[in-house]
Parts: sequence; C-alpha cells; structure tokens
Amino acid sequence: MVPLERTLTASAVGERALLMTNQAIARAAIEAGVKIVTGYPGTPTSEIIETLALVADSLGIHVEWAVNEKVGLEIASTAAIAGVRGMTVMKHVGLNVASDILMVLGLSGVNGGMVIVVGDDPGGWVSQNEQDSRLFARMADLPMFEPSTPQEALRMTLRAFELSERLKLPILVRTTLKVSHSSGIVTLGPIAKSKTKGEYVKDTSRYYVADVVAQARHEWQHKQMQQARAILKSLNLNPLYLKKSQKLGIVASGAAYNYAAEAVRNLNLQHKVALLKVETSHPLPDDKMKKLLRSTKELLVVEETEPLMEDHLRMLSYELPQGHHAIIHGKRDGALPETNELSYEIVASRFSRLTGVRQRQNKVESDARLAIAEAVPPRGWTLCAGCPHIGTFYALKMLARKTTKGRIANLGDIGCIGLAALPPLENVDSSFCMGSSIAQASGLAYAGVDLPIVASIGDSTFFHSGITPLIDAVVNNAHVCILICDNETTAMTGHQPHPGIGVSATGKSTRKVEIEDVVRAIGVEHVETTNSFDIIETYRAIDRALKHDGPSVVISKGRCAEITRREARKLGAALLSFVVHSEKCKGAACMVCIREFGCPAIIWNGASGKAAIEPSLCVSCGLCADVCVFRAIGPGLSS
Amino acid sequence: MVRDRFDLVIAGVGGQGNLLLSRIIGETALRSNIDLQISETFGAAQRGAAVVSHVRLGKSYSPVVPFGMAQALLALEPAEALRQSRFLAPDGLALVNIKPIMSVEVLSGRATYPSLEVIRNLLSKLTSDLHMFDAQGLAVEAGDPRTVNLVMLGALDACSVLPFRTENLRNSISSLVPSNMIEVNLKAFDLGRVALLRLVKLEPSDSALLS
Ligand SMILES: Cc1ncc(C[n+]2csc(CCOP(=O)(O)OP(=O)(O)O)c2C)c(N)n1
Ligand code: SF4
Ligand code: SF4
Repeated sequence: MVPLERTLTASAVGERALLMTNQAIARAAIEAGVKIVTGYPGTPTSEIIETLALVADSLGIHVEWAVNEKVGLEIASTAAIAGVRGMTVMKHVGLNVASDILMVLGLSGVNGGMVIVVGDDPGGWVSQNEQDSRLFARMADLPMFEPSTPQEALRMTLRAFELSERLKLPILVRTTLKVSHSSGIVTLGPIAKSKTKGEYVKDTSRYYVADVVAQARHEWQHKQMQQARAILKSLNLNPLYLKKSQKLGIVASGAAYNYAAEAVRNLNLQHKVALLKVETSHPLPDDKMKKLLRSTKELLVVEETEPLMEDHLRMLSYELPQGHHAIIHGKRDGALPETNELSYEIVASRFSRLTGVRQRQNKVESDARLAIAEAVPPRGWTLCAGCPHIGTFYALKMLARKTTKGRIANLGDIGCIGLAALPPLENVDSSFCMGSSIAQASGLAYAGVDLPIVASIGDSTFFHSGITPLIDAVVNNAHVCILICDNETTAMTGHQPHPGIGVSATGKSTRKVEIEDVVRAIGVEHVETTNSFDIIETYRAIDRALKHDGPSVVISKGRCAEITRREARKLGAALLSFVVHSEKCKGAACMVCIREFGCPAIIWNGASGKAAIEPSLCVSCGLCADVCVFRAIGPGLSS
Repeated sequence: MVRDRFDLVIAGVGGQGNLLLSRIIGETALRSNIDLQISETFGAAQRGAAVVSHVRLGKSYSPVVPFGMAQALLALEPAEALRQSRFLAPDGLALVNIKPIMSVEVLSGRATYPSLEVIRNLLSKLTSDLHMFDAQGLAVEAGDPRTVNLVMLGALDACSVLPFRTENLRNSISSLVPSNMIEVNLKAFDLGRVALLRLVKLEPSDSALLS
C-alpha cells in the first residue's frame, strides 16, 4: 500500500489512489503547484490543511493554521496578488468571518491562481447553523465550483486554479459535509511547476480599492464574469442528460446530485427523466437550464440548502414564452423540505411520487423498526472523562450557588466548553459564534443586568476573535469576568495547534503567544491564572475576579484529556485510575459525583448501590477526589 | 464478485477502529480494480460518539447506503448494531460483537442499555442471517483488545461475501497497520474467520483458512 505522503507527492500520472474528498483537494493544490495554503480548523474541511501539512516541507509549500479565516484569506490572496498560487480553507461560518476581504477581492483581482475552499454543513450537524455558501459566491460575484465526488473535487480544484489565473479572480470551491468526508478512487495527474517567487508591483488603480477605483474595478469584474461564462461554457462542465421524450427533468448539484443519480438508477428512471448536474454554482449554466426548461413539462430542483437554482430557473422561465416551459418543483412549493440536509430517501420518495414509479418496498414492518428505535440507548456528545472544562465549570457552578441570586450569567462560546451546557453540569448558558461571548457579556453588563456576568471562551477561540471584544470591554470598563479555558489545543475540531501552543501546522516549534501577556497588554487590571484541575483554586479565582469593579480575566489552564490520553498511548504508559472506596461512598443518598459533576468515567453500580470508576476511561486527573466531600474517591494503586 | 454491487455498513463507537476497516476494504478493492465509495460519519473530537462507515463496492452514485440496502452490517458494538440497523437489507448478513460499550447516558443512569437477548430478538426480526459473538474475547486472545475490528473483518471475510480473496485482505492489513502490530492484527483476523466458520458450523480445513 502506498502511504498518503507518497500518493500526495507522486508524479506518476494516471496512478489511482483511494482518497477522501479533502485529501483529493490537497492533491489538487499540489498538482496546481500551490505555494501558500492557509486555513482555520472547522469540520468538514480541516483535513485539507492536515493533509498538506504532511508534505509541506518536502514540497516547499507554506502551510499554516491562520489565526482566523479572515487572516487566512488575506494572507493567501495577497500571495496570489504577488503572483504565486494560493489556497485558503474554511468551514461555512468561516466565510462569514472572511467575507469582509472576500467582497473586495473581486475588485482588486489576483494574479496567481487563488482558490477558496469552503465546507458547508447542511443540517448544521457539527456547526452553529446551516448556511449556503453559494449565496456568498453570488454576493461577491465570484465563480464557484461544486464537486460531488473526490475525483471531481480534484478535477474542479485544479480547474479553479487555472481559471482563477486566467480571469484574475479568486474562485470558490464548495463542498458539503457528506462530500468532504466521502472517499473514492481518484486518478492522479501531473504536478505543475508554478511560480515560486512572488513579486510586488505597486498598482493603486487595482489595489487602492475605494470610490472611483472601486467603480472602475466593479465594471472590470463584471467583464471578467462575462468572460467566465464564456469560458465555462466551452469547458465540458454541467453535464446534461436529456432525451427527446423525457417529460420530467431533475436539476441537482453536490451531494444532492449523488442522491438524485442513485434514485434515478434504483427506480430505473434513466429513460424517463432528464438530469442536469450543476457543477458551477456561480455562474449557473443558463443555456442548459433554459434547454431543460423548454424540453420538459416538470422540473424538480434538488439542492442543499437554499433554493438558489430553483429561484434562478424560475427567473429564467420568464424569458421563455408562457406555457412553453416546465413547471418548477422544489423547496418553494414544498416538494422538498426547505431546511436541513437532504437524503437519498427524501429524494427517492419525491421521484417516486412525481413519476408514479414505486420504490422497492422494504419488507420489515414498521413495528420492528419502532421497537428498535425505542430500544437504542442514546450516545450523545459529552465532555471526555478528565476534561479540564469539567473542573472549571463545576467550580463556576458551585460559585453560582453561593451568589445572592444563586445564579451567574455564563455566556459560552464555540468549542468543547459548550458541552458544559449538557447535563449534569448544565452550566454554560449560550453559544452563538466564535468569540461572541465576551461582547455579549459586555452587552448584558451595559444593559444593567443585575447578575454576576461571566464570558467563557476557549483558547483557540480567544485568539480567533476574542481579543477585539476584550479591548472593547477594557475601554468601556465592563464589569464582567472573562474566563479563558486554556486546554492547550483547538480541541473540538481535532486538536490543531493555535498561537498559544508554540507549534506550527507542520509540527515545527514556533514563537508562542502567551494569553496572559496579551490580556495584560490590553490593560486588564485583574488577571489570574488558575489550574482547571484544582476546583477550589478555580472557584476562588473566579470569585475574586467577579468582585473586581471592571473587566477581569481568569485563565483556567488544564490540558485536554484527549491529548493526555494520546501521549500516554504514544509512550506506552498506562494511566492509573482513581477508585471509589465503596465503604465510604454514601450511595443513592448522595450521588453528587454523578448528578452534579458528571465525569463520564464515574459510573453507577446498580448492584452495590454505589458509585464506581471505569478504569479504562479514567485519566487520573483527580478532580472527583475534590468533589466527594466524604473522601470516598482517591487515587488507585498501580495495577 | 457475488453480485455486481456490495453495500456494507460498519457500526461502532469512536476509538474502535471503524475507519481502519473501511480503509482496508477500500484499498483491497482499489487493488482488485473494483469501484468503490466510502462515506464516514465521525463526530467531534470527543471520545465515545457513534461512528459509522458506509462502504459501497461496485458502481454507485451516492456514497451513503440507502435504508434497507446494505447486504451486510458489521457491528463492533451491539447497541450500535441496533442504531444502524435501518440500513440493513431484509435478511441481510448481520455480524455483531456482543461486548457492550455503555454510553454516558447509560453509565449515569439516565438511559438503559438493552440486554443482549433483547438486542438479538430485535435484530432477528430484521434478518435470519444474524451472528452475535464475543469478538472482544477473541481480540484479547489475539493479544490486543483493540483488534476487535480485525476480528470482525475476519468474520466478514469468512462469510464469503466480499468480492476479493482472503489473501488480498491480509496483504492490505499488513500494509495499513504499523509494522509492530501486523502479527497481532492478522491473528485477530484469523481468529475472527475461524469463529465465524464455527458459528455457521463449517469446520474449515487449515488450508482453506489461509487461502
Ligand atoms: C468561524 C468559525 N470557524 C471555525 C469554527 C469551528 N470550530 C468549532 S469549535 C472550534 C474549536 C474551538 O477551540 P477552542 O476555543 O480552543 O475550544 P476547545 O474546543 O479546545 O475547548 C472551532 C474552530 C466555527 N464554529 N466558526
Ligand atoms: S476533547 Fe479535550 S477539551 Fe474536548 S471534551 Fe475532550 S478532554 Fe475536553
Ligand atoms: S480522576 Fe475522577 S474525574 Fe478524573 S478522569 Fe478519573 S474518574 Fe474522572
């Protein structure tokens, strides 16, 4: 078997490899001779940077985890302005952060090929929302490709680099969770030699983007997009499968196309329905869309998640003589759900309804399915056993009970800390978007809310977008305590490094930015660092901070338990387990460790009516020993 | 190939090595010139979430197996067999490891874990081709409890449903696991094969075992 590093750097044209879409995009960047790749972690696209980091040094590519998506786009696109090829990678909400520069890049344009990869999450399974990045391509008026498979992802990303260089416009590639995390066989192409040294040419008529320059460049951008339409038409994209007698047409893209094509095959509809696979989400293939509108009686538009193509088709239909175009079905008329991820099942059942072709029925009666659904025990998200956040938020929870109103407003943020909102801790109140907690806390304070106010934020999130709202809190003297939960990693997205770690994306040691230094430099007067695994110390630190009249910061430091676990595994060292001394455990009368604290390694032994600790999960963090006031929990002896 | 297409769903819990299994099967298919697609759901970084891989051999369009279409369900954990059972075709092959991994909800008493009898009963309503066995025990016997995934792969291979030879699978295993782990993984794979053949009462000759 060929290791991934070899596949990524292989020059053997025509070699076939099994790659995940994210890996195929990484390979495409290599084939394009990319020079600079930036990104910020986020599911579903994190693996692109992680893959490129494996070979960055050997190929001479600058690969970095940027501080946030906006910084990432600014770096890569400016390298492309200097003429080398650049790529930046983010999840859908990252594009919100990067959108400020995105909107200007179409005006300045670039010189080297510049590709922006954005991973959407229909259904919002691993995000704060579902959001359709195709709308961004339309708003920024920049071309966007949408692959359905790993092979297409490679081909289209490569095309995107070439087209970008031709048009001098950045190009977007959009994937969705299901596409990003699917794997398939990919045929490798040649690795291009691209420019490796950037040049800076001063040109205020392009790069000083304001008033008359912006106006002139906006005109230029529109001309470029006209050219884009012509070029895209000449390339063999957006395949249309249309035969004369077909009364029903399907328009689909991305993962939705996969479901549609599968349903066409499974229902044997090849001869009955025409199919348009849309690969350029912007600009859309008007000609083919019109042809399909003219040739069929009904059209079903299958897309995630907004009815973008559907509305566009409706608009195009006004250009056709009345009564000479298909009726359009989709999200607007309720043929397909307006929100959430699509699935094969949803798509196939709509096809079945529209064509009258029955689906092969699954013989199992629904009672059996129902009984199974009822019996399956939940296996939801939780904080890991020994997570430092458990210590921090248990301390905060205990402190809240001691306050006058018995309550602390604890505005949360994105990341593992959000899991402290779940039972039994139930401590974090909210979660909106990266870095929001701090300014939200200030908002509550200025609104005169009569409660102690805390903003809880992770370390990576603090660097991403927590610094500016902290400056705001200092300048306006907001009486809030900012609790920075420093677990020495960007945990939730898979443990990527961040500026506070001192390690680069490629594993090299770098200059480390100390959170405490940053906070002090901003002018926060009350700053304390506490050990997340010491509940009493953390409790006291937050208590003191809340009493400070003005913004205060508590940095709760404790290493992510997953990292502790991995390192132990690497060293081959066994982690000792804590134990419950059952003779001291008060059993059902107490259960504080399970009902209030909730480290997942602490289990309830129904037979003995006492708590116990599952040794395979425990990392010996010692938190629970402090939680049990009867001193029933302590370190175990080595086994 | 038994049929021109083979859909497999691998159910497990984070850390059980689902992804390695789909990789082994995928690389074997690649070497055997069989088209394939894999779709994986691996939640966030936390341990213990449900993980599912869909492996589709032969020409397919969606990487996700439609409900009721999988010819085989390989469950590394019994409750996960239930959770992913909607993908299994009526009377499809179901191989289930009987060692439960309790979820936090269960451990803390907020939910109950069904007994193995209940699980067996429920699954047998979906298929008669159900084999539940102690893959965990065999993994321990092989020398490493973490090789449950390979025990299950061996069992699947013994069912002769995969469109490639045992030897090809063994080669993929050897090239995909760290070199110091090859022996124990191959042993787990073989123990899984034998266990399944015993279960279905086909005593293999030793040569057939290694074919
Ligand atoms: C704008 C934006 N970019 C990326 C993400 C993806 N994301 C979700 S959680 C998270 C990690 C946060 O890390 P950290 O703040 O260190 O908290 P931890 O998970 O380590 O507790 C990221 C990057 C997002 N939700 N929004
Ligand atoms: S991954 Fe780390 S930070 Fe996240 S819940 Fe687990 S231990 Fe806590
Ligand atoms: S020491 Fe206690 S709190 Fe820490 S991981 Fe073990 S059981 Fe959980």
